[in-house]
Formats: sequence, C-alpha cells, structure tokens
Amino acid sequence: MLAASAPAPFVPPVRSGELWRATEDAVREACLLRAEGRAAEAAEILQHRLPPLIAEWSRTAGRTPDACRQALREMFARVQEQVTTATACKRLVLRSLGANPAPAAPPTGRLEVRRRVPLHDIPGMLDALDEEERAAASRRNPFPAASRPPIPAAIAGRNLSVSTIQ
Amino acid sequence: MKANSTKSSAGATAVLENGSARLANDTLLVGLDWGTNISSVVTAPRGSTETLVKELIPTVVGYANADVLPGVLPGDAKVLFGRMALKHKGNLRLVRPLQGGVIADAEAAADFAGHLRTMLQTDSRDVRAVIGMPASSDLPARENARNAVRGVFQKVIFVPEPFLAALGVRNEAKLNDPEYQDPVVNSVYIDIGAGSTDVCLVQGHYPTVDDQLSAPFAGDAVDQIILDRILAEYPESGLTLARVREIKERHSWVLAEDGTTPAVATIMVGGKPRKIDVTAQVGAGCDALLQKTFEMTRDLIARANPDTVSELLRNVIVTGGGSLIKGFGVALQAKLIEEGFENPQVRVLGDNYKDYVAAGALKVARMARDNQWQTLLG
Repeated sequence: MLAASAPAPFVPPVRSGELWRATEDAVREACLLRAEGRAAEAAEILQHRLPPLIAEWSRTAGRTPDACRQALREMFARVQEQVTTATACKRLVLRSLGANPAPAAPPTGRLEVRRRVPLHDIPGMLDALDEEERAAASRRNPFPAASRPPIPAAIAGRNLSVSTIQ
Repeated sequence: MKANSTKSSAGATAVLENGSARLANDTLLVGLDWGTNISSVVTAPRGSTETLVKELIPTVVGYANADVLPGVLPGDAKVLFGRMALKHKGNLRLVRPLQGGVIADAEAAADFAGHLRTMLQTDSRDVRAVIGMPASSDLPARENARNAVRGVFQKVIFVPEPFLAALGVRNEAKLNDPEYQDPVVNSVYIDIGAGSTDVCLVQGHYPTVDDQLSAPFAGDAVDQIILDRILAEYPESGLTLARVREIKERHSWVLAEDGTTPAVATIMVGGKPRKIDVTAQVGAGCDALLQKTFEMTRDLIARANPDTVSELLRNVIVTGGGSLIKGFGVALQAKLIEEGFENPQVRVLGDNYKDYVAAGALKVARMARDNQWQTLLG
C-alpha cells in the first residue's frame, strides 16, 4: 500500500485499514473528478467526506502524528500520480479512436467549443456552445488554488500539518 | 447576401420598405454584429429568405449637454445615436457603450439596444437576435449583454464572431460550382477586433479551443501605442484615445511604400490647431499589430496537419477592424513568404467584414432550434 521509499511499511489495524481504504478511495475519487473538470463535486469530497475519515483514521491508526502525516503525504502523491497517468492514457486512447479527449483545461467561460462540429451543422454548433457555457457556469466558484486544493481542516485538528495534495 | 432594403443610417431611423404591419405577430429574426466602433444589423421574417433591413450604425450614444439651447439638436432630442450623435458631438456627451467588444457602459448599451429596436420598426412581439460576441468574452460579459437587450429582444443567442464571419462569407448557392473555392473548408481566419486578435483554423468544422489562438492585442492596443508615441513627442497636445482612433482610421498603414504618403493630422497643441506628421507613430502601432498577427498565424499553421498546410496558405482570410489597415493583407503575406511559407495568399474582407458577421448571424437565427434560444424575461 505504501510507496517503496517508506522507511517502515505501514500496516494498519483492521478498523484503521478500512478507514485507510475509504480515505484512499475518497482521495482518488476527488482527483478523478478534478481531472474531469467537475471541481464542485471534488470540493464536496475534499471538504466534507474526507475530513472525518482522516480524523477517524488518524485516531485509530496507532501511529504518531508524524507517521500519520508521512503516510498521508505518500498516499496523496501516489494516488494523484495514478490519476494523472490514467488521465493521460485515456486521452491517448480516445485520440487514437478519433474521439474527442476530455478537456485538457477546465472551461474558461470563453465563447468557444471543445468538440468538432461540421460547419453545416449550425444547431450542433449551438449545442456545443451551450455545453461549454453550462460547464463554465458550474465552475464559477473554483478552488482557491486550482492546482493545489486545500486539505481538510480536520487534519490540522489532529495536529497533522499536511496542508495540500501535492 | 443582398438586402432588399438597404439604406445608410442617418443614425436616427432605418427605413423599412416592406410594410411593418405585415410583420405583426410574426417572428422577426435579427443578425447583429454589435461592434465596439460600428454595429451591423440585418433582419428577416422567420421562415422567409428575404432580408428586410440591412444597416451599419456607429456604436455610439450621445447625451445632450445640459446647456444646449432649444432648436439646436434635431427635435430637441435628449439622446442621439450613431451618425447623428457623431454629427452633433459638439453638443453631446458621447459614450461608446462597448470596449474591447464587450459592454463597458450598461446604461448606454441599453439605450443603444433600444434604438436598434426602434430602427427595426416592427410590431412583432417575438423578435429574436443572434448576436456576435468576441470569442474571448466571458460569462459576465454575456450576462451584461443579455441585460442590455432585455425588453428589446425576446430571445437571444450569442455566437463567437469568427464563427459568424466564416458562415457569412460562405456562399452556399455556389457550393456546386466547380470554380468556387469554399473559403471555410480549409482556411486560416484572422479576426482583428478592438480588444483581441483571434486566429482560427477553419477546416470544415467550427474551430475548437485547439484550433485557435487569441491575444488581447488588437485595435485598442494600437491606439495606445500611437497615443504614447505622439504624446512622447508632443506632451502638450492633450490628445485623447478617441482622437487617436479617428487618426488611425484615416491614416493607418503598414507598408513602407504606402508610408511615402505622409499621414498628417490636425492636433491641438497648446490650444492651437497644428498639422503634424504622425506617419511614424501610426506606422509603429500598426506594425506592432502586424507582427503580433504574423506570429500567431505562423504558430497556428505549425499546429495544422502538414498535408493541409499548402491549401491553408492559399486561404488566409483577415477580417475585423484591423483588416481595414491599408496594406495589412499584402504585408502579412510578405512576412509569411519571408518566413519560408510557399505561395501564401492573404485575402482581406475589408469594409464588408461587418456585413459578413451579421449575415452569418442571420443564418444561425434561421437554423436555430426553438429550444436553443435563450428567453429574456422582463
């Protein structure tokens, strides 16, 4: 579960192990949602679902705060790397199939389209513009720092100073 | 597209030759290029191929000064629009509702939109407008536009201006003509507006985010360069951006050989009118725009499929206010040749560019499904 570079493999107790897996799943889900441009849903996980999981896990882990912090850091980095790699693979596969890859960047609110619409298909062009407008409208309250969303405050409550997902 | 009824605006009213009564209770479609300096509007009844109104009007609102004597302004009007506003600017406070292609003065924009509705002279309860906006416009900009036309149009759709220009310049009636070269099958579109320059690859589909480059460097930036240069030489001139815009529109150029005809402008220096040679200053501003446009064009062509580049180079189309700079197309073509591109051919839409955007907007209005119109309440 832990990166090979960890000095001592972390083997959590049973209850703690369930919490750890739930935490990792939540982090992965948040990263995937962000990669898909669904920032609001990612924020919901990071701000509401993740904090109690981390708080409960760190209470039951039987580890020092420093060890918990280290384990979380490594897990965040590993999951984020997995999602980044998976997203890149997805784009390559879609591109090879001639499909449109997922947006490389979140909707900006500009008047533009992200998928190819033939020039004669005016209604199709209007649909594509509308899709972009709706996506941009749903993102009008993005993360304070788009590339480094904050880690829930519950961690700080446990005196764990992990401050961001790297 | 040729209008059945075309009349140069006197700024006050456009004449609708085909009776407005016939339009009552019908849906009127409007194609509008709401430009920073000049707007183009074209209308047609829904379901008809005829065009009713085709009008160009300077995008300016003039509010009467408080001390204007009775009888000075036509009809003692408190507000004048377009050319009439420019004609009587001495007694008016002129406001340009748009800057950089988006609304900068909400009140003036709403007044201008109301004037457009008056121009249409229609009793139709359902007036639907497709409005061209810069591709770089954001959500608040479009919300401002919606607010400005609320009560004027019942339904609207906003479409990027480059899309509309591409649609407008295409002649569908000639698509079966073997001699006709369809300008949107494989072309580079360069739209130089007031606030931004957009360069798009148009290759049979609407340009996606990957097919275009946009830079916030366009007409307004040129104005600022010219102003800075003139003020550096004549700091006591008290020159304004509005005056610089007039000078640029009259004297803009990019080719050295054109520069042999000096650009002489009358500028107030120390309270006295002086004729000053501003050739170098105007040329510097226009050259900066040319260089920026060239770099964007070069970079975008580099993104294109190599198999399409030779045809792309034969269809470089320049539109927008920047296309009115004398020599711009030839100069851009020369720079592309210098860069090593083979046989580039740059076409400038020129004075007609506004018509193409408005005509494209009307095409969109005719094809839009009912559920694609945004209804404006109130």
